[in-house]
Parts: sequence; C-alpha cells; structure tokens
Amino acid sequence: MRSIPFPNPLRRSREAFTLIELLVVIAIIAILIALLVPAVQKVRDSAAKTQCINNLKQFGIAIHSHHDNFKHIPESVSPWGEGGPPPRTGRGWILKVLPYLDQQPLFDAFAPSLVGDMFSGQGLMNCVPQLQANISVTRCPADDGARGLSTSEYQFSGTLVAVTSYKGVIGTTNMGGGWPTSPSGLTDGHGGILNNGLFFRNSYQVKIKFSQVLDGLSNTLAVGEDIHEQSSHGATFYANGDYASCHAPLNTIFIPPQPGNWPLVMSFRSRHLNFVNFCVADGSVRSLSQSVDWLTYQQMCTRAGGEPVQIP
Amino acid sequence: MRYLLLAPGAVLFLTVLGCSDPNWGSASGTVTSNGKPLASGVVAFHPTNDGPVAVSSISPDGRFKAMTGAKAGLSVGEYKVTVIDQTIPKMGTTESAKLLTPAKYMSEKTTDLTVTIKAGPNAVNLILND
Repeated sequence: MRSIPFPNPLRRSREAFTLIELLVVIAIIAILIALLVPAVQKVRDSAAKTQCINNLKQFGIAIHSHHDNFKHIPESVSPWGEGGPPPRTGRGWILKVLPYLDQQPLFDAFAPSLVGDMFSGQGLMNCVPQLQANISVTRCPADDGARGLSTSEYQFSGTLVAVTSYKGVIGTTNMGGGWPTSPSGLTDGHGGILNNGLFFRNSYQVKIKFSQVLDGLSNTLAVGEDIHEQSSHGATFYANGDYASCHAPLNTIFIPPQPGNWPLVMSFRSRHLNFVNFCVADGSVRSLSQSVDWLTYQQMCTRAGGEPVQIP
Repeated sequence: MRYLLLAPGAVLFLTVLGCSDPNWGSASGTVTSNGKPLASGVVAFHPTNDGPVAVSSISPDGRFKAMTGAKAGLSVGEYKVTVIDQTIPKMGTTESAKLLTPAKYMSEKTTDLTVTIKAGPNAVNLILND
C-alpha cells in the first residue's frame, strides 16, 4: 500500500490560525463591542435620569402633603442663633418630610432625640445613628459620590453621615460672596430669613406658605440636584446640608472638585448629560439644560421676584 | 496585507478629526495677578452676546481650563473675562470673604479683559494689574 501524495483536508484544518486571521477576528469583535458599549451606556444614563426624576417627584408630593398638614412648606431649624428661638436642633427640611416619603419609622427614630441645641451636643448630635440612614430617595443614581456615607460634611467632620443629591432652592443669595458677578446682584443672606427662595436654614422663623409664592408655583424651582463630590454641604437630614443657591451658573462643575470652597460650590449641578433635574414648586419635575441663561435661571429660583418667567 | 493593518488606524484618525466642531473651542492658560501666579480662584467667561457663561477654577499651579457646565470648552465668539480670588469665610459667622485680586476684574461691567474664542484650542493667558 502506497501513501497517497494528496493533502488530507482533515489534516489541513488542524493547522493553526495565522496572525493576520487572528487580528482580523479581534478587530471585528472590537468593532462590535465598540458599537454595543455606547448603546448600553445610553440606556444606563436614561435609567438614571428616570429614577432621578422619580425621586424628585416624590419630593414634590411630599412637600405638598406637608403643606396640606401644616399649612406651610417644610422648614429647617438652624443650629446657629441667627435670631431664631431655641431649641436650635439643626433639623433639616428633608427630615421633616420623611413621613411623606414612606419613611415614618425613620422619622419616629429621630423624634425622641431631637431636643436641645445641636451645638450643645444635643439636637441632631443626639441622632448620629439615624443620620447614617442611607435612603435611596435622597440619592440620584448618577451621583456616585452620594452612594456611600461621608465623614467630611460641614459641622459633622469626622462623623459618618448619609449625604443627599437633592437640595432645596434657597433662591439667588450670593453664598459667602462667591459669585459677585451674579446677574441678580443679591448679596449674601443665607444666615438670615430674607432669602428669596423656598428652603433655607432659618425658615422655621418665617414658615413660607404656597400663597406667598407670588411668582406662581409652576414658575418657581423648589428642589434641585447637586453632585456630592463637588460640595461638602450635603448631610441629608441637616439644616445646613440640604439647600443650595442659584448664585452660580447652572451646572458649574469644578475639576478638580473643591468641596471646601463653599461660597463657590453651594449650587446646582448633575452628572446627567448637560442638564439638571428640578422639582418645581407645583410638584412637577423639569430637566433644565445647562445652557439656560444665567439671569433667566435666577428668576426661576425666586418665589416672589415678580419677573415674567416661564420654566422651559 | 500590511496596508490592511493600517485601515483601523485610519478609521480612528478620521473619527477623531470628524469630532471637531466649528462652533466649539477650548480655552486654557494661566493667570498672574501683579506679577504673581494665582493659586486659587475662579475665571468666568461672559459672552458679549447671549449664551451660557463658561467657568473654570484656578489650580494651585495657576492654570485654568474653561468648562461650559459639565462640557469642556465653550462656544466660539467674544467673551468678557472676570477673575476672582478670595478667602473662604468661616461658615456660621458673619465674617465676609476678603478679595485677593484687583476689584475691577470682579464684574463683567468693569473688567477690561476680553478674549475671542476660535474653534479648536485657544491659549488664554490672563494678566491682572491694579
């Protein structure tokens, strides 16, 4: 029997791939992945936006439920003197609306300890375990930095507390004089009661009603988004961590972040694609483009500025 | 066969080239105040026509890079530039911020710094004097 001098097709198929073949296959796979990844990212962004809008909607409903019960917008109690009567517990407005965010047990856990002045070691300082309650409604999924607890929040330095992505709108007050070019030209009044928005740390002295929102509830921003990494004022349940000003242009983001420079950074921004979600005082939620005119944006932030402005 | 390998590189090159927007530029540079580089503060670009304000913080080495919101860069056109560097007041006190840069650069009404942003990268070196 002689061997056949004909190439065996089975044997040939067992030969290795050439380098070129391998590279071509890898290139094709890479191109396919390159097509897939942006699509997946887009879906993730869109899901984060939807959940964020839903969280803000919950805040809108909670603020209205609170107003139904108490006949005023949920108020904050400053821990500083600033003209307000004791007890200066430091309780923020987000804590006050917990029962309307399906968090009655957490509210009840706070209630017995919320006595006395915070700066005498009482008030909110009595509630450190409760301050670590990391509820999802206060966090935007796009805001990575708000996922965990923080030890670097103002007045809670070294203490682990939960942080919020959502801040009440104080108005256009020029926090710490950080934005002297702000078109509204308002000076700094964040420590007092003469603020032109809805949420500030001394609002327990004035207790704003919807009837005092003369610009109209549908023309006034109530709650907006912040990125935790950008500001160290974010303790969720604290009167000095749950508000921000419209004094800076919308979505001003600093790289690298300077969270300690509070006159610059206590404003509204997001990790979404060039827009920031806001809960409007009428309870609806809008996404504001970051290219909104600075003055128009500031006019939306005032409750009784008398400006003819409509939220786009 | 060698040319086949060049193809993905060529595609990548053309993609990068295709991304340049004729209405979008970047602005980066340094700020010096009375001869000394600033190590903190904010640079803001105010458009002379309608449009959003672009902002940058000044890094410790005196450099800045303008951003419009979360997007790096700014629209092409004319801008007035304001620069502010000030101390950080203690929260909860009535202490106010102390200005470290000449006051005229604080407002877009008084600043004499203007810049024209063209498409692509723009080097903007700001010199402040009393």
